[in-house]
Amino acid sequence: MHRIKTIIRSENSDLRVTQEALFVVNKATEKFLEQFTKDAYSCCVGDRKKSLAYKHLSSVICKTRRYDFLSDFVPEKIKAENALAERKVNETEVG
Amino acid sequence: MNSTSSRTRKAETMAGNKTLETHEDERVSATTDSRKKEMDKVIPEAGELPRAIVRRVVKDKLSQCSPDCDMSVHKESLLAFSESARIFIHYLSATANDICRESKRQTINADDVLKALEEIEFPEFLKPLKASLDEFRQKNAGKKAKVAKEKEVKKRKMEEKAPQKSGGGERDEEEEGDQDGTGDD
Repeated sequence: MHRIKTIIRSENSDLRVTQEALFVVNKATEKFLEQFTKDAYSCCVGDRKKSLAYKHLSSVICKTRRYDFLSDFVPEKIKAENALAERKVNETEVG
Repeated sequence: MNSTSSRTRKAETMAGNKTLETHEDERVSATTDSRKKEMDKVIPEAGELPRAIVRRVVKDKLSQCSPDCDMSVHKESLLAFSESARIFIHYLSATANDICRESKRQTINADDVLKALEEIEFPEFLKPLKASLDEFRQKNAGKKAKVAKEKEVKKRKMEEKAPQKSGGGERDEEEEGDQDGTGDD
């Protein structure tokens, strides 16, 4: 609970939040985690894997519209090779 | 010239064979080194969710989903989970803040958060959240009643006798008061 308050405050320090609102955020986060886990699990089952890997999470985020807000933070993995190639392209564009 | 091209080829094959995959964001054009440093910086940050709790929530849900077999969760997935939860908190609080500002109030209250949840397309959370919010309110009301009661008791004691502080005895009374409070509700 306190941790969540710090997290909220860290973004906007002059934000004022009631205890009740904090509680709701807390519970909502828990629910969100559960939902996210469930979605990732179903993706995992579709993959016939017994472990929950990062790519399951990222593919869920890509597929589901309401997880769009996470797409910048949990991007799909790409090979270092491709990333490096892309960087080169970017660099040449800048240069 | 030759040596550099062979080196890059070596790096490429390494990237292909081993799991040298990085989750590079498209927009991030930083070098992998600086990215690693970033990751190191992120880990000890204070504004992070407690790992153990995130793991417990995820594991509980997984065992609920598949009671027959044990699912394992990768370390990086757990990190992704806790980061996602953090982003979710930011996202939710920012939306709630907007809603709050629209109605020209200063402090975000529970209704703002619930409305925000609706807005960010998690409406199925509303019902259970409202239920647990009611529970929370009742608990708080019980606590307030308890505090009020304690104050009264203290006042009475002060009036009756000279101030005598007995730690253990008061604590027992508190617990009794709590039970009374919840029972009344």
